[in-house]
Amino acid sequence: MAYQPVVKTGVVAAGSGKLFEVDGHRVAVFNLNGEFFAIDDICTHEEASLSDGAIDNDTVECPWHGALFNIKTGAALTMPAVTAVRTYAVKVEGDQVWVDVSIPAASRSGL
Amino acid sequence: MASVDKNLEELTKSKDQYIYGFSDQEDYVYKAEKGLSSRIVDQISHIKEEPEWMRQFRQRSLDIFQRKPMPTWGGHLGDLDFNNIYYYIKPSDRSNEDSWDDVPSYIKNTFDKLGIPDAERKFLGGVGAQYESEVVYHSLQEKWAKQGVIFLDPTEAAKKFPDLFKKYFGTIIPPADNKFAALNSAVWSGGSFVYVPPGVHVEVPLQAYFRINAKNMGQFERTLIIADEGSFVHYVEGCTAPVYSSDSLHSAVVELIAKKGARIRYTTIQNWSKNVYNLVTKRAVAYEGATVEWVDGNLGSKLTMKYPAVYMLEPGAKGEVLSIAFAGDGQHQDAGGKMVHCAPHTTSQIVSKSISKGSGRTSYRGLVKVEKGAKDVKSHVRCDALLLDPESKSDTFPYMENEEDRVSIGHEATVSKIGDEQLFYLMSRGIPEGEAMTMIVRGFIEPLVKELPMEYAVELNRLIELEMTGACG
Amino acid sequence: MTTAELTQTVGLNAAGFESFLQWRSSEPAWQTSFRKRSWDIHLTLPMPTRKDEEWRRTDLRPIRFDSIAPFASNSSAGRPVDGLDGLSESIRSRVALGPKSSGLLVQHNSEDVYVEIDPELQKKGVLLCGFDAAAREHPDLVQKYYGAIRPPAHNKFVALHYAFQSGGTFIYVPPNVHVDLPQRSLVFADAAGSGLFPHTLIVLDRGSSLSYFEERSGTGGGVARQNLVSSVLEAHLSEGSRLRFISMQQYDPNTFVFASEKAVGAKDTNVAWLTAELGGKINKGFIDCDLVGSGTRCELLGLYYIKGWQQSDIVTLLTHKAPHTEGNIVYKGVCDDHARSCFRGRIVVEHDANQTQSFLADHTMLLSDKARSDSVPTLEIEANDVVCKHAATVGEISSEELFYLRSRGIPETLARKMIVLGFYEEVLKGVPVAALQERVRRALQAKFDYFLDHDA
Repeated sequence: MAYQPVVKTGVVAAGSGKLFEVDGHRVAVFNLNGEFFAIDDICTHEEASLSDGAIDNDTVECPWHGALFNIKTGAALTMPAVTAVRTYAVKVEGDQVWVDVSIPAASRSGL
Repeated sequence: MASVDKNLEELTKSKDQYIYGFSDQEDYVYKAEKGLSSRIVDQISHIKEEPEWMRQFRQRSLDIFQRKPMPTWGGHLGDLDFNNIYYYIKPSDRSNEDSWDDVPSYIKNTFDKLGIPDAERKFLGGVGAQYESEVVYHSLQEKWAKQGVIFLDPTEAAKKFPDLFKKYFGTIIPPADNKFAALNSAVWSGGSFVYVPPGVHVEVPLQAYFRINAKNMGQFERTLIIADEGSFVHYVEGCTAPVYSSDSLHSAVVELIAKKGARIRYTTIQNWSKNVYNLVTKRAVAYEGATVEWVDGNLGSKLTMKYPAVYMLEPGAKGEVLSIAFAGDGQHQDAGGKMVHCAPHTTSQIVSKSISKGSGRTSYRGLVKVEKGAKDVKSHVRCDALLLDPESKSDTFPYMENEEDRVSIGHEATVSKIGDEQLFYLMSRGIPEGEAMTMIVRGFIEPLVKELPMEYAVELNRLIELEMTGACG
Repeated sequence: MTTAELTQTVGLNAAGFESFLQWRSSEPAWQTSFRKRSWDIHLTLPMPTRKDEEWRRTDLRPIRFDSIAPFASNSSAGRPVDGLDGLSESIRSRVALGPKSSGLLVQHNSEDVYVEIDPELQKKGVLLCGFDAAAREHPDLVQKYYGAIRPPAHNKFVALHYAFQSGGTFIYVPPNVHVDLPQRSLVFADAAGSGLFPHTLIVLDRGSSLSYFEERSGTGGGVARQNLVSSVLEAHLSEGSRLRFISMQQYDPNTFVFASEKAVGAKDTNVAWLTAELGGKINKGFIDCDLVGSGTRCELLGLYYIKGWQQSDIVTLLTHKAPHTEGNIVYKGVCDDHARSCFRGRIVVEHDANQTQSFLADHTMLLSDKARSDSVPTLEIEANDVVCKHAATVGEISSEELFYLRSRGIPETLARKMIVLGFYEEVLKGVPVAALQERVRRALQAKFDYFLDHDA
């Protein structure tokens, strides 16, 4: 696990989301009633920015075509999105939010 | 005979009662009002006696429609005036419009040339037609009912099968999908609701105009077809006869659900009059091993923007679009298809044939998308366009978006005029130029025409001939 | 290798522009006023967003314009040297890679450090010089063509280019002169955290011909700072002229590259132009060719080989404006790891361009299940007496080919290498100058081998 410090807790207000770039990944960090979650910012339908979306309870609505995603699980809840977004591990220490974007090593060309 | 007359009388009476049943709303019902507002949306919902969730759905959709910008791609929509449209017209006003006397002579002539089946002609001629349609309708209805097939106007279906209806309605095309889906979601009226139980194969194509209230075939149809596991249904929308419409905008939404092992074929030949904007959202989802085929013919309208889509959600699903577009003077057919592969071992095919004549413009606009995890996908797209005249135009905009490596995706397109060699060959055998060109054009679209039900194939060929001879004659 | 010192105000912004003007205080007045006008245009144009069709896949948000230096001043280089020995080791070794040329221009960041040209060609009036030198020494010729076919208003990054332009190449070939052994220019960029804005201007007079190899290579020396390149190329082909041109880009992987390039072919001209893209973080290219005279043929070829988190985002536009022209666009790319490519190949045939034949083929090979590719080959046809076709494919490495090679005793690694490199042959052969083809082949091999050695 490779957690990286991303943002101070005070910066992301409750009921909102913000975009950060972590190690090449575009990550949307959401604050749901004081609990922090991180998902891939890119809508799996047509790549709008989910951090710009409207939040309702634990779902975020993509601003371009209205697809709903579950912020906690990343699941795509309505069309036109069909594929879930990646979720990232989050931990909060003090007033710092940490996110881990580490993934299994990308497959090289069979070498 | 007598009993049928009596049935007809009863039916007409019940319709009259339906209208007069809302005396407290009398003002609204009688006045056909232009423009769109939340009040009109409420009226529509009230007249249809809809449950509260539907009314709220419509209101939310209206809000989305008003917020969304117009698309900046596709055809020219600048002249579309949303305030100058009737979004709901009560049935009695509708029947006046359909009087045979009001149909322009060029359409009456067309019927003569085409030899349109009497049922259709009489239908447009007024009450007499209803008589025959009713008979046909009733006998088919018995057969379907025995098999458990549901084929109703969606408003009726919402009342008779509320759970089934609510479970699927708006799930494939949510209101926020695009501006015109939002509009339809706010003011939809008419269309079809079809449910086919597991294992049932509906051998006869279901055709929209068989239904008694097909006269409301109108601006904002909403069709929802659910084919349960292992079932088959072929739905045919509209007819090849030119449809006269003073309405300037037709914006339909069609949602198809093909469950495991099911197959749905949806055939449309649209031939709206040349003043109409035809902006349609059609989308299907196909589950494991299911197949959805869209056969889409676009001959009429001033501007059509329509891209039937198949989302293959589970392995083994298949999607197919066969599209024919013919654009004459002043027309723009902007059509194509979308295939979204969301599961492995899915296949898709799009074949598009377009013809531009005079100053017409055809545009193919399509998408093949392979989502992450959809391995071993095969997709092939082929678009061919014929440009008959110096002013004819054609575009091809195929999008391929791919997130997997184990795929085989191919796309080919050609654009050209009729080959000189082909023409010369036919003319050297004594065939006059106009006829030779017609033969070549018919040959060009033949692979798709043979997929149509026989009577449509015949009519389509005759329509093409009409368009061609009009140009060269 | 010394990292160039940055003594100016950092930032591609108003303050940076002022500082840049001071650095350029000795340039001709016409050049300064042109760049001031361009800066104003840059300020008025909106930043492209992902809602703009041609920028759908380009995320510009990570670029920190205020942290990128507008120029790199090479503290060690005063003026161009006389011999290659005066150049630094890294530049010399690059030069040694070839190809053999009849003229060589070397720039370190945006400053000329070496120029030589075959005396025979020089006698005939062929000009090869750094762009800034040309602006001083041949102002009439340069002003006539500068910004004419790719003006600053084309997009915000082109306007940025014209504002901060420094360095680049100027080539002029007089009527009926033929340059067969290629001219060559090499830009070596090593100033981490800075911008590079070279302008290439090629002018071929009537009946002339030119073979040209343009190489851009960069290194940030391992320093993880953002670099930005906004380059423009303009090629004017007069009647009956012929251009064979390969441009190869191997920028540092922290570089955001915006390349905007256009050739215009008059009557009876012939263009064979290959763009090879190996480096950069995001490579946003606009590569256009207008065929304005009849009898003209244009081959627009391209290849890219991207890995890691690289992104290739190319828009090519071939416009047939006159009758009896031929076009052929062929693009081939390989994506590995998380690399992502987006290719839009547009063929436009205008109303008067009858008897046009135009073809496009775009093929992408994906070597990893994390790679992504988008392909949008389009046709916009308004003349009817034409034949236009396009084809696009996306797929993985062919298992049959792999099996065939392995069954002949070739180890898997080598077999993959052969297939990947072989994939590009069709495109390389499109520019019929063997030495240039070979140079690109070796660069592709080197990239393949490098990652072989450096994969963890």
